[in-house]
Amino acid sequence: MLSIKLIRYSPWLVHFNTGACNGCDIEVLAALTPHYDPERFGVRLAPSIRHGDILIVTGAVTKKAAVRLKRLYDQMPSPKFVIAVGACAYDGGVFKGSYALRRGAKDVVPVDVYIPGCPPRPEAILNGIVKLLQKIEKLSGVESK
Amino acid sequence: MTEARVEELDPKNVIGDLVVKEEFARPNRRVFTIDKSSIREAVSRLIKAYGETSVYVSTIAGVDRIEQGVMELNYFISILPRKEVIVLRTQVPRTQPAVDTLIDIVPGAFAGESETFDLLGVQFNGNKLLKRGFFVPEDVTSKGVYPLRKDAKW
Amino acid sequence: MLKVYADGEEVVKVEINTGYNHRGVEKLLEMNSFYKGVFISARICGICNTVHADVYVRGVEHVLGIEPGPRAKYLRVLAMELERIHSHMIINAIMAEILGFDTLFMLMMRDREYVMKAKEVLTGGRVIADYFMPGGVRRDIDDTKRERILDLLKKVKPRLEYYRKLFETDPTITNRLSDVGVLKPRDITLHSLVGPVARGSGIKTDVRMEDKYDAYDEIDFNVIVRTEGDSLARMLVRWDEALESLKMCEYILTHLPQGQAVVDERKLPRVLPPGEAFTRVEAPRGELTYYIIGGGRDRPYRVKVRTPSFNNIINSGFSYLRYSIADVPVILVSYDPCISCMERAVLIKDGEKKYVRLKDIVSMKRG
Repeated sequence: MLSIKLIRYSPWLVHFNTGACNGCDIEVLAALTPHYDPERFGVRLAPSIRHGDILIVTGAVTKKAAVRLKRLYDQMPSPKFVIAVGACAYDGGVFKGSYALRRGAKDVVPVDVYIPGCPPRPEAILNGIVKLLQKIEKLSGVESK
Repeated sequence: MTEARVEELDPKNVIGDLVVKEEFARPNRRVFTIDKSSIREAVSRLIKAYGETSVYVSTIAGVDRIEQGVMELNYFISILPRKEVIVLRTQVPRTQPAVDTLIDIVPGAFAGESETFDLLGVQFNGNKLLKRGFFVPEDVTSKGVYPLRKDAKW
Repeated sequence: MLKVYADGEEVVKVEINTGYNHRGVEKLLEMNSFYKGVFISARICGICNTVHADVYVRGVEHVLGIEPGPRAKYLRVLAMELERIHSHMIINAIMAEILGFDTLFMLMMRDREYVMKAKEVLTGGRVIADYFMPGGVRRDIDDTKRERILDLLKKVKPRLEYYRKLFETDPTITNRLSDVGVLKPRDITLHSLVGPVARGSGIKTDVRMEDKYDAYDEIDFNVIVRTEGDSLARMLVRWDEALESLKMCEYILTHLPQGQAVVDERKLPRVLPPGEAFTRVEAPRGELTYYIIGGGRDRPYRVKVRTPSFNNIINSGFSYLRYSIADVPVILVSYDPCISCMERAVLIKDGEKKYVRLKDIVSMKRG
């Protein structure tokens, strides 16, 4: 599909924090600075959710934030993909068992790539984004056949 | 009052008549247990004695003492000219935990009172801004559960 | 999240909606052993994780009745001061970004990488240090690492001085920040506002000077106070503090005492005896307090955490009134909230409700 192919060349990211300690957030922020140069992959931050292709979820999805996460995901135009960054977005991390959390991002939205770490280094985050782009490429390869 | 005199004024001399018991929490924080009806008086006197810009309420910590059937409220107050933090401690019955609000004297108590109400269920009489769900998610508040209580189940 | 009610351009009411970040940490700390608590408490805030771990560990040490050696104390202060530098840099970078100064944001983030590298050389982690343990620290440094950190700090120093001068003299910045969000001294103490917010309004309070914990009784430093009370004063306090921290780091690295710094974790006690401790620390954002009660088990009976942003953000709703909506993000960022708190705001203007990004509010300037 043409639209999936376009995403592979210039994916725009939307970042959403669902109750994180901000460790993953500042590493996502750092991954978008010239030192790590994400723009060589065509990756940049989208100006609004309606322009987003990839949703980056950080944080141990709190019940209050889960509602907003679902709303945000629904507002994104298809095709869309989700990356869960950090141990907390996987299943709560060190906060597992708390009364205020859901069971990770996969409880709320379908996740395509998990990036483990607490927090993962900016290089690891870029690596995860590239792996997602490779996955998308495979998808578009299958579709076009 | 000159700077030197304020530093030398011992808080015990300001609220001593209200104090029921004196202990200490490490490292060297004096804990004054007072009756729950005297909290407002004690805080007002401290502000008047040291000056509005020399005293602030640092932390309000509620503790569920389930074995004793009480909830303990600790008001940590920083007295800047003495570089000292004192603790005003009071107890309220666990079945009806309530104490008078401080927010009309010290608006900064709003954050601590909101949290103690939402997590432990202590009522602060006169504080009309208390609400459940300030922090705690709705599925827990809808069950009427105060999560920080020792017998909380969610 | 902020709920801003506006009449035309003027702010008439502000409500703070919290809870999006509430993870039930205090309950978790009661449900886990007090050693696991060292790692849970660090992850309350990633930007100031060393100070959280430090104040928790000191509280536990008071209850246990143990004390770390002098070398460990100096290394702890080094980790915390490095964190202060990086935290102040990131909030100033975010302020630049909010004002539309994207290039300045990128430059500051690039220079901040030196400080992150120094933190990594010292503690093994760029962001979360996991460096503290009751009784001392978990890693030591040798001369090679010491020289490397000094080298990195030498690279950062001229950059910090340049940014400080920029914030003081550049009209684009000073025009947007001067006289915005003015707080008087009695506003500060009556509303329990702490940290650079208090010091920017003339209140001389700094927990490092008051409690003299760890090695602060032996290291000289100035408490930075300004009297203007506006957003510019608060940001300048942070730049001056970053420069003071840099001097302290250099002092520590050249005056490290000898001795054992690393704790033998196998020999640590298994149970937290009955007792209570109230410890405080000067986090980059202000006074952070922990109240720990031991109950004779491996789990604490109660741990109460009061972060500086708890007071500064929740109690500061009054300070936005009568300013224009475009000033709201500037005032909020000058209080140094965590990034998560800053993501979105609800703007209720002339009865109409809109979800906006803070960055977009800034561009709603009048004329």
